[in-house]
Amino acid sequence: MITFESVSHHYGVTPALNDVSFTVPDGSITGLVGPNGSGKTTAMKILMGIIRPSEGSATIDGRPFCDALLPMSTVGALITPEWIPGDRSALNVLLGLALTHGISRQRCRDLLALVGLGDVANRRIRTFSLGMRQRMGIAIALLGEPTHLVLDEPVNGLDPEGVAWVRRFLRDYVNEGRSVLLSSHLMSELQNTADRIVVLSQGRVVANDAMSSLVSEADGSVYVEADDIERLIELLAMEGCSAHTVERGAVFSEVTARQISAVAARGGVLIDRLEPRRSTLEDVFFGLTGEGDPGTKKVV
Amino acid sequence: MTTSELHSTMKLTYARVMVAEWLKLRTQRGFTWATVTALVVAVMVSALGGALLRDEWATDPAAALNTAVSAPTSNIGIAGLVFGLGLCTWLAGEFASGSNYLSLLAIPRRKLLFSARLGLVTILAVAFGGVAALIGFGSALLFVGYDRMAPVVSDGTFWINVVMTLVVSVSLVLIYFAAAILTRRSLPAVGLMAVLFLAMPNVAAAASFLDGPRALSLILGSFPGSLVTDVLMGSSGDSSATFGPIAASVLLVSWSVLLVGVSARRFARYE
Repeated sequence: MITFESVSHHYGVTPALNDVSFTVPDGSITGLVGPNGSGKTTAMKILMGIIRPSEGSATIDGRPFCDALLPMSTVGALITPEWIPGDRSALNVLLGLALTHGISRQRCRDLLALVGLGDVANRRIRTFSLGMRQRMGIAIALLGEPTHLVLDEPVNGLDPEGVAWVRRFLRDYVNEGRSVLLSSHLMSELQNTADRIVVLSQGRVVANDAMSSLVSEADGSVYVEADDIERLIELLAMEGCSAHTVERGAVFSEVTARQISAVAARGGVLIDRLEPRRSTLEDVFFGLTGEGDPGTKKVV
Repeated sequence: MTTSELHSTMKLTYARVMVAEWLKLRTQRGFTWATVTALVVAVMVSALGGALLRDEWATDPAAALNTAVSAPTSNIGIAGLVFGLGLCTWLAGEFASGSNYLSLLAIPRRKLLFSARLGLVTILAVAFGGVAALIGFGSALLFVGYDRMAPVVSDGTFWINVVMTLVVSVSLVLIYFAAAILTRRSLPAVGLMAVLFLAMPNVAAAASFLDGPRALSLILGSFPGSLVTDVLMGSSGDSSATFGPIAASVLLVSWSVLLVGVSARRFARYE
């Protein structure tokens, strides 16, 4: 189990993490989400011992990563593919890490084949696309068959086939009782992949729950398209409903579809489309972090 | 291979980290170029020295004997400078590219990674110094002949000089190593080396020329560049150096120990 316990960190006078506590249980995929600068990567770097926290501790199975006897079989991490040296071949980079733990050359070749880089094993990393570098980063993380995986934006730059492969792979991985801490900006992807979600905002944990609980809490909004949407917004505002406009309609919250149709009928507004919305992780995220979709405007 | 089978074969050891670092180093283009350049320089210096030696032996055998004694040591010093530059570029590149962090994900124990790199650099510096000395000595043999060189080799001073210069060469490479870790970038590291090995000796020479106080000359002459010159001058029989060859060697080793110690502390605390 991965545990963050009251972790705080600041860069100079700028706070990055503030009293962050959460756990990543074994047998689950935990998603770490937050706006840019919310402290996701800092948290992962602290866990991997790259930076030291100002306060608190991050441990893996009860001990700091720096004290692990076999680091590569304890945690495999992909923090950023930029750390992979561009002037060496894919096989050489893997081998350079594998030799430290006595892992064989064959295992390196097998892993490159697994992530779809078998044919370019001897090509220099600098000639790789972003997606290929991501695959390379995943191969590095998997080198020691670790008990835990820590992946920062692993599907960034991957093609749809690669994204689907990562999703399936991670599910099989945790089904063997291991754990994954995963950060991503792709909310829909995370919603399909993660079992638990930790939302960071301005260095603080603002939500930490099972995905199913978080998403169901946000149910209850309705998307409406009508011949006079502004009038409908006014009518529903008088009933105490809030709304925000989107492309051709508006999303009303704290109201049911039946109530909206009744108000519209009384006010003479013709409804073209009425769709109770299934909440998404994105809605939860925007609600919790106060971040807004630039394409929407809150009117009430 | 199952997970448990794989894990049972895995072990993180000092020797394995050193082998992994060697793999990384020898596949770096910069390092290959520095090694080849250092070898070419060593061969060229040896060829030139050998040719001078052959002419000198005909006119002044006593001076030629001194030249023969210093042939391998000059080579070790010059080759060490070029070789150290290659190592420094590689190490600084590790920091600049961020790939040092990748190493730390596999080897999070800083002391282990640092000491393995230090051990590798030391072994390479000794090996390279030995090769450079062999080239220098081989060249002298080629140009002068075994009969004339035999008395030189049988003289203990020759071997003391070789060992002393080898120690100096290793110290020099270790100072490069420390400079790369302290500055974390190639250019500042080379800049620091230029100050220690080029600028300060010139300041010391200027102070000496202007007939400054003795204490000032001693202080300025204690910087690594002046000390290397002192060792090389001393080994070729020149007695005008600020320090004798043994004192200069000891001071240079002290510099390398000090700088490596400071860089180890920095690596352990801040990387």
